[in-house]
Amino acid sequence: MKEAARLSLALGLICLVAAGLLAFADAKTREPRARAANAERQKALAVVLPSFDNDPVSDKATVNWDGGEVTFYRARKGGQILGLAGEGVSNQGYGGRLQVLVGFAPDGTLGTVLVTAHRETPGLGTRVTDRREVTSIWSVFSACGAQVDCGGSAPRVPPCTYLDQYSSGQRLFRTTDAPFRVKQDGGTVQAVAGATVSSRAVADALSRIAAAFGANQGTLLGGAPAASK
Amino acid sequence: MSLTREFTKGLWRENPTLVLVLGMCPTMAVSSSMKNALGMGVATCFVLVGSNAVISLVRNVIPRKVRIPCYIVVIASFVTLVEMLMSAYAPPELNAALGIFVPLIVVNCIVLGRAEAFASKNGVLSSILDGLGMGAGFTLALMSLGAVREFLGNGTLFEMQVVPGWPQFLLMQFAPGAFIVLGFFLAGMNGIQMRRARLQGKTYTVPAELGCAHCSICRLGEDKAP
Repeated sequence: MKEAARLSLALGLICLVAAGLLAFADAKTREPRARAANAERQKALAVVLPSFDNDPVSDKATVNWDGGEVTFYRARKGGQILGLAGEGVSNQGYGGRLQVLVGFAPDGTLGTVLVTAHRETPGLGTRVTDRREVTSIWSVFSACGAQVDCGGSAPRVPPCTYLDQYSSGQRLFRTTDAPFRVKQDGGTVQAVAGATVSSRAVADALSRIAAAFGANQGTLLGGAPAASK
Repeated sequence: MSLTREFTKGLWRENPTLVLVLGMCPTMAVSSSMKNALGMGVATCFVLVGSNAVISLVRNVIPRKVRIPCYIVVIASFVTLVEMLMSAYAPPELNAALGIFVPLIVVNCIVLGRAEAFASKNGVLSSILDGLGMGAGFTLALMSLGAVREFLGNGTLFEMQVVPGWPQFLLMQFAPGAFIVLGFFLAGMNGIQMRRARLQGKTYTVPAELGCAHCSICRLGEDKAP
């Protein structure tokens, strides 16, 4: 009996110290973490939106949709809405929560899709979520093949076979096509072999964004920056 | 054992992946490409050094009977701490490259294995060196596996095309391919060890400290170290 008390006390004490330490670190790093996430968002928005002269991060509207939040960022030039970016999450990823950012035209045609936060398995699920450039080893060795950024053009987005089918496949995806489904579920989206769960999760997040856009199209495209609802 | 030996044993003689055969789950998943292998190796090495140091420091305070749960709490807290600090202060590129590997490390039994087999019985300096060596050995093993799998699977190394027009060999990208390549690596390891022993006129036996006699995980409830 005395021994059991001693053991529980030791384990309890260690847990207490660990919990205290984590709580402290969480509180201390909360603000810098949010700042880092915001900087990442700015960068991602510049990729998915057409060129704009407003601040899309402040010109946003949040919609509660199907148990999750969907946030829309508007890109304007001279007050005119040229494009939107929807940010939504799915909890069906292999590693749980997965956040998707997608740009689309005011008429609902989907543009570049980015997975901005995820915990998918490296090497398997990441073939769905990650955009990466495959360069040839020969082009690296030969100076003439070096990839020089000519400037002027928009930043090139590295390819991802899965993500690109939404924006540059044989057919255009529109927000009105939602819900998007992978072929295994009777849809038109080609899932990545060996990463069906991750493929599904991205389709799920996109469907939420598209449905939320469809239901709030009027408010989102309406004149002045709408209040979030 | 000299301090250098504490470091070098992880590289070859007690390589965590190819001799101890620990941490197979991340090995299977992450050795599909060299870039992933390097990311996972570096992240694991860092956590291994940290957790070994902490466990070695508190090894005399923890009652033996509850040591495993205590190690798990220490390792999990350390990993969570690293994750939070990285997403707050690390450069975004580094965080993007290594961030996804950090949660996988919690379930990597190399970390728990070294805590139990080494750090709980040795001083801080040896434990740190053990962690460094094991981490480096893990990284090297993952990267060699990754090089073979990535090359056979895609014709690329570090995501750079080496052979233009290489046909995709999907098997290599999945777990079965990982098992096959790992099998050849283990056979090669054993072959080299046996050949070495034969040249010295001995028969190869597994080092004593890797055998069942030395491992105390089956005698968890006992109060005294064997």
